[in-house]
Amino acid sequence: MITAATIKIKDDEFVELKDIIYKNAAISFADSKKYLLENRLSKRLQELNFTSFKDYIYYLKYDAKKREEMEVLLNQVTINETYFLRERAQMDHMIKTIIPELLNSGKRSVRIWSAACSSGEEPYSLAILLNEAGLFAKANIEILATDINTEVLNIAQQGLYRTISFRGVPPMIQDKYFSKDGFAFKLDPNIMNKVKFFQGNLLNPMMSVKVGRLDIIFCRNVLIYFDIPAKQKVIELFHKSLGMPGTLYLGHSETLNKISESFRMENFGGGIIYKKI
Amino acid sequence: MSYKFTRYGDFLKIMVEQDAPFKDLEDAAREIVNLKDLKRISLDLKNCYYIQSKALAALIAMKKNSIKIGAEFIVSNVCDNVYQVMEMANLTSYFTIEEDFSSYTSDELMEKFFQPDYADRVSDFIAGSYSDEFRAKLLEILEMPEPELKFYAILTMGKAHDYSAEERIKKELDSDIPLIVKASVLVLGWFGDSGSKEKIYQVLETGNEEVAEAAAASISLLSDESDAERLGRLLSSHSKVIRIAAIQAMTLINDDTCFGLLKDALDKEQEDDVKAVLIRAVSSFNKAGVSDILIKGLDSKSIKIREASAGGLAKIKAKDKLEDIISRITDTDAWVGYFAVKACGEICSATEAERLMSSYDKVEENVKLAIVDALGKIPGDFSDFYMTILDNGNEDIRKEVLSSLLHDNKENAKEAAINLFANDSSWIVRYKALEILEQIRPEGFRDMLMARLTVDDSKYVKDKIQAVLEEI
Repeated sequence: MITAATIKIKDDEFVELKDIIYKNAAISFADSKKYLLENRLSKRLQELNFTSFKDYIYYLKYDAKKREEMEVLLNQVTINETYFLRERAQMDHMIKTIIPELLNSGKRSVRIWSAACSSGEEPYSLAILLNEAGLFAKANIEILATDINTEVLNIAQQGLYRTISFRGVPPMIQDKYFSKDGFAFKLDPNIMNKVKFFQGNLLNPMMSVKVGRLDIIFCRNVLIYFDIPAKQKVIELFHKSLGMPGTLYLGHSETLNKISESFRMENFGGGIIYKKI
Repeated sequence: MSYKFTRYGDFLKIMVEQDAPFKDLEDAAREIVNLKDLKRISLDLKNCYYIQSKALAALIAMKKNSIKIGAEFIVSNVCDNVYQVMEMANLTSYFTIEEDFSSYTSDELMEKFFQPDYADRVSDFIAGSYSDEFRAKLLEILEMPEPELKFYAILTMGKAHDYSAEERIKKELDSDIPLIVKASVLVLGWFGDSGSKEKIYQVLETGNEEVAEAAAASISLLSDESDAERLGRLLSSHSKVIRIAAIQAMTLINDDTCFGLLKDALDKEQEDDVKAVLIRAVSSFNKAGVSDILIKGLDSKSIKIREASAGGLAKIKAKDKLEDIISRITDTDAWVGYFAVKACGEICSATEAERLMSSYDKVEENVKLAIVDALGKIPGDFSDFYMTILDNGNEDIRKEVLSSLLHDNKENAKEAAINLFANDSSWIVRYKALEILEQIRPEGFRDMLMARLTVDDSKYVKDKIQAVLEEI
């Protein structure tokens, strides 16, 4: 927050707002993240003429358009940084090991879900690597990508990225798949067409119906925002949605230890994967 | 030994190496009791990407031993993985967890500019502990092609008042990347670089949303008597972004000319959302006639304008318009009513408070909440009224009643808080009751907390009870 003044949030307001966010998105905010709500929401409060977070909480609870405001709120608090080819070893593992195994077992169609895709860098990275490996020609591969945040999904669907999204991306990949568009980079439409985006909340019981039967799920650096009961629900959803043999990729700092026993952990050298039991 | 004690006066930092055996941590915990004259002990886990659950017992021992020697114990730089282990052990609320950027190298800190959640705070930290090493790194970044890094590098130099970088930053005004231009515009404003003012006007007049607000802020910082007129001309620009930026700059300049021009613009402006911005701007001026403008705004057909006007009246505490404000409490737009009541809370006396109370049954829930809140701010004791609604079905009303009771009648607040803390079905109310009891500290408070800790089903209330128990 550079130009607008920050409105301070009181302890009881923080607890109530974090409960509202938790109930609607299952995201847990540690007490040390209070500043984050202040920074991301102060401007919105000022737009609404509010001078305190209490005003805003009442707006979320009592305004006729509270559902719309909930979307605004969730869009503000669920923005997470990502970039192309992040934690690439897992993506390479999928390309070199998991998909070939599926194809060797006779499968001719593979369904992949990027379960919290943010602005699209993860599913597009998968599509780029699948294309590089020539796998789209060998099988019918479908990539689904969902996120709770409608604003980041809009960005994903535009396929326009700034340099911050290209940390560690080999220039060869960037030059081949992106063209300069002003001060941004536009993704090749052929890659964009490989990914189907839609809005979805991982805690929504209907989510498994929306995504259908899957072979591979990527859900990286997302579970860290959930508390244990929410993590358990999400993992249950993944277990239900994956066929056999189903593969789940989590972020490097995430674990299913004490969360679920319905996956078997395997170390592939460059990281961890979880196989459905 | 996989840990290192470093003492800075009465502050001790314990740095732990990656994969520290838990036995070493137990040793560190034992060493703490032999230390003297410490006020704060920080266990820095910056290098720990994972922690064995056995090691948590050593962390608990460290905290206990710190308390024994009268020092506060904090755990700093906890990565997500370690946080998760602590969470599983239900220890995140037991420990005070903080970030301590002083443990990072300058390269590690610059890398954090890539992380939106850290970038601002890291920038503040670097500016607050600015050194030649940091300066050299930031200058290096300015030669790199990464816009986000450059943005924070420029801002950090500005916050550190590094005037020696002024010429280098000026060059970035010509960047084709708005984010970098925005940082340069802001910093040159902070530096008071009047020589760049013309260039900053050009930036504002591009109408680019990403930079316009920054340009407005800097123009106001660099302004002289000629700027009000120039900005006034921009109020009739075809671009909404430019008009809003001009309004922002004039609000910050806040002189008589700006007020006159903004007032005139209110009559000419056609778009409701810009008009609402104008209303908010006008309410920032301490001038005669502002309350008349805001009262007039209450009759607008636009909800945005009505709400901005009511919000403005609450902000300026328009005593001269008390009757008009009270008459709006029952406005058909409940948010106009809400802001009107908020204004009443700032300007009413006990006499007018009666009128708020008599409106209570005629208004929407959010206005009811504002009434209870406002009564708590008005001098007087309205306990009798509060008692009639203390058993209201709406948890927010009960919560507001507790807050206002505390202002008006501490004894009644104590009784009500004890009762609601023990019996209310809503955690929101129990949490508020606990906050009030924490302030009042009634007799038997500790027992009350212990009893509730075992039966309360809300994590938030339990965490709060634990925090209070630790404090007392």
